[in-house]
Amino acid sequence: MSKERITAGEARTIMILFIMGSTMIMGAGGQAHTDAWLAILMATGMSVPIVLISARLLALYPGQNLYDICLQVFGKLAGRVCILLYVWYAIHLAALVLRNYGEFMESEAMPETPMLVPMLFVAALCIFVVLHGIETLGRSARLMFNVCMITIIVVLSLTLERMDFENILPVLDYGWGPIWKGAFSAFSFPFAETFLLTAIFGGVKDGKSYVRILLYGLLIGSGLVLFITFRNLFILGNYTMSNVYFPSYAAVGRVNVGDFIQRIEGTVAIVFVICVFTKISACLLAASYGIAKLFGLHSYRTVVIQTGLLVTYLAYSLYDNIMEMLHFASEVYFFYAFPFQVIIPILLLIGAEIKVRRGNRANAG
Amino acid sequence: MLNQESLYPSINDNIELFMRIFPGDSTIKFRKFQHPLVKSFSGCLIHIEGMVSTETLSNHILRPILHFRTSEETRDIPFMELLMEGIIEVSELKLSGDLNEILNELLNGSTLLLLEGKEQALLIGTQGWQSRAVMEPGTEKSVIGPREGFTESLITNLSLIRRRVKSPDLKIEFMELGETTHTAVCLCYVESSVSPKILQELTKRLKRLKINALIDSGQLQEMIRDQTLTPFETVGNTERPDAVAGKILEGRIAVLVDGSPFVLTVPFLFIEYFQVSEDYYSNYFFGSFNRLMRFLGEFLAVSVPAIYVALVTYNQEMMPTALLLSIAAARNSVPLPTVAECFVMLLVFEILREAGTRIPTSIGQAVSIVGALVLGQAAVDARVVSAPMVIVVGITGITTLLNVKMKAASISTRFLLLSLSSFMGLYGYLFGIIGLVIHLMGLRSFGVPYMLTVGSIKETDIKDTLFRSPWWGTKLRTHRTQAERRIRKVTR
Amino acid sequence: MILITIIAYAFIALLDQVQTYKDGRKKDFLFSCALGLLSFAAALWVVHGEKLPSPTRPIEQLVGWLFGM
Repeated sequence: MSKERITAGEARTIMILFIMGSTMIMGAGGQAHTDAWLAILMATGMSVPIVLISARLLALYPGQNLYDICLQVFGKLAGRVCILLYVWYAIHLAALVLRNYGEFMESEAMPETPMLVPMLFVAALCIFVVLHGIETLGRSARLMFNVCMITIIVVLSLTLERMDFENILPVLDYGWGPIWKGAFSAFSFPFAETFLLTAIFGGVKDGKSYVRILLYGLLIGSGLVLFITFRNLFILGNYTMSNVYFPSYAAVGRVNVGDFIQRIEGTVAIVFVICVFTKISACLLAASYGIAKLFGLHSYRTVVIQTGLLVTYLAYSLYDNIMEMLHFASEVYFFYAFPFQVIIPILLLIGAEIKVRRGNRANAG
Repeated sequence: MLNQESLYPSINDNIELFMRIFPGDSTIKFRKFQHPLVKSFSGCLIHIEGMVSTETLSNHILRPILHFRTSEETRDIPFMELLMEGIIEVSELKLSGDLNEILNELLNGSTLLLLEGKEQALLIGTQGWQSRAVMEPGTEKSVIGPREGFTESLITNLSLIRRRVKSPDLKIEFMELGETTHTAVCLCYVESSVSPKILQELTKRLKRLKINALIDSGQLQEMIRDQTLTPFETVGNTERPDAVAGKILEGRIAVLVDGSPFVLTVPFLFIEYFQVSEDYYSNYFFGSFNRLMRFLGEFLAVSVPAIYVALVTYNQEMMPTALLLSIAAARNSVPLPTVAECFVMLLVFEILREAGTRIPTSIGQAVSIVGALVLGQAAVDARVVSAPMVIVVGITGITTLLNVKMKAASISTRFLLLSLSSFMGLYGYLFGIIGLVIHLMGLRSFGVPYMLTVGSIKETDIKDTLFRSPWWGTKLRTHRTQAERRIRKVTR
Repeated sequence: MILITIIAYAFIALLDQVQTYKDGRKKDFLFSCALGLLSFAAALWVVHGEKLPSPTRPIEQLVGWLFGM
């Protein structure tokens, strides 16, 4: 386990794909309607401190991941509780994202296949890559990110003619209220979720500073999300965007080039599967690391398969229908995730700074 | 097996010994000789017919012995020493008393010289058997570039490599594998470029092998690879000396096996499937174009059946309407569902391909006519298969031939993707591709990541993967090439 | 369907648990077995048509109680 290290570039790519996650198909900051882009910008700004906290924690304890830091800062008992909480959070997040994907498959892509089937396939892929280790995940992410970019650019060139740039107006039509709602929603899903990545970015080669990796990852990731939001907005307009479950799918579906290239929504699915796959794999990896640390297992690999399967069953059972999913995502999730994304990180940082200062003074004096 | 370890002092006893070891074998020739003038100078030459050069035997061994005239100075010197130092006109001489060694050498084409009264034999290197001349390699043809290919003789192959890398840095290490076959195996590398860890690992794996027979390098290829369950090779093989020379200079190690014209190279990365020596000898536009075509061809070879089945069965909306209609019309009365049709046709193609390689040339013509025209056309006319399917299988077949080395991997991947896409359409295909990517990214060849430099778009990486950058784009005068530097960095 | 689940789990057990046992890691093996049994039970339940208890409702209630929304 100690030999598995990834390069800075791979870590950044994993983070970008993590942020893109299910946001690519679900949209972010949907409550703000036409001003969703504004909400995303604000959310990015709000997430910068969280990302800086992550970077600082990783820099204070080089070579150690989130769980090691928890144990060091909070001690044996409280640290283990903390690990358990994050393991649960990772499992729940993986299930949520997997469910997003399942709902998509059932509504749009393959309505006649029971949701469990595509979910099992994606889960199997995630289990496969996590078993291979984080190095393989990093290298695969590299290649798949390039494929993603190419797909997005190609689709963009096809959709250019359908864009109506007037759709962004009127700005602030709904007032600041919805924008704040959208911003908080985008903050918790997906930007601040990246704090979970500290659980797997324990050992990064190249010695580049964590701040650069994580910050660039955040900015590029949010830039891409912004870009996709703009694209959907320009193509669909306000009304459609608010009324459709999967804006990207609907937007790309409008493409019709000379009656020859049409109904290419499948290409959106490529990007979606890649992003979802990376996000779930990262969460699964984080959860497996946590469980192995919690129970003192020799290697995290022993629990990966079963954890992955449990995540799938959980994903299947999470909601009764798609509306429940949207309600949870927009109303409840922010509050539920707040402790994991803000409170505990701040506590960790304060505790870590104190401990390290004390340690330094003890060494010096 | 043999009860004794050494020879008898008497020649007749020794001759009987050899006749007992090789009963009924009339290729073992015994030539007793007696010096005309010196009575005590008598002995016997033993050799195996067909393995020795009779010219050397007659003119450079027998004649000098029989024409030898003693003189004042040579009278007191023992005969064996006299023979070794002054009489026999052959460069390879060895004295031995160990029967096992003697038998090995005899079986390897040496002539044995036994002297009356001596328990040791003189082993004279007189190898000279029939072997194939250096010709164009059968599997890797080229338009531009050298036409020499390896043969079955280890020494000849080694000379082909040595002629290209005339540096004292080129190191050769010999070893012997196979309890019964005693096959000579040799490692060949450039000391300043090679990664010492890989060399160590390779030597360790070779020494660890305990096999009965080693006949071809293909067996060795499978025995020294990393233990992974994959159709992708992690040990490369090639029939071209110029390719081997290029790889050695980049820091790889070549393994030559006596009796096989295929030389193994270690480590082997995914990108090497697509690199052909000719790319480097031709114009860089043409070279880059060919390489891109190879990538595209491999992608098509693996994906076309799967995508066709997915589009026709599940995702019809993605095809342009006109195309969809004509395919539907062509498939109108075909009894099999598309998936089964595809499997059957691919299977038939594989059967034809395998049969084609084993066919005696006399029947070859007839079969190709029967196979292609009659069966194909008749099948379509009888509406057993649809015409688009024949096109799909045709494209698949031809693009597979662009990258012949990847055949095994292509076929397995193709069937896997086809199964997945028949199960879930394009999404199944996508899952298969992702699974394939994960699998490839996790492979290692002797510790070096298999997909080194594939999948990234850094400028330094693309230079020799997707494109073949012109020579002025690469630093010619640096002592270490890019690839070698990277392999060393990764295995440090 | 249940048969498929049983066969699949037997297959996974063969690969996963047996390997862990052979490696000699007793603790890992026991834990993996426990987890495996849990997931097997969950699998049977899901295949039967029932869903696992969903955490969504409890979380909503918890959030509502804490933040009074």
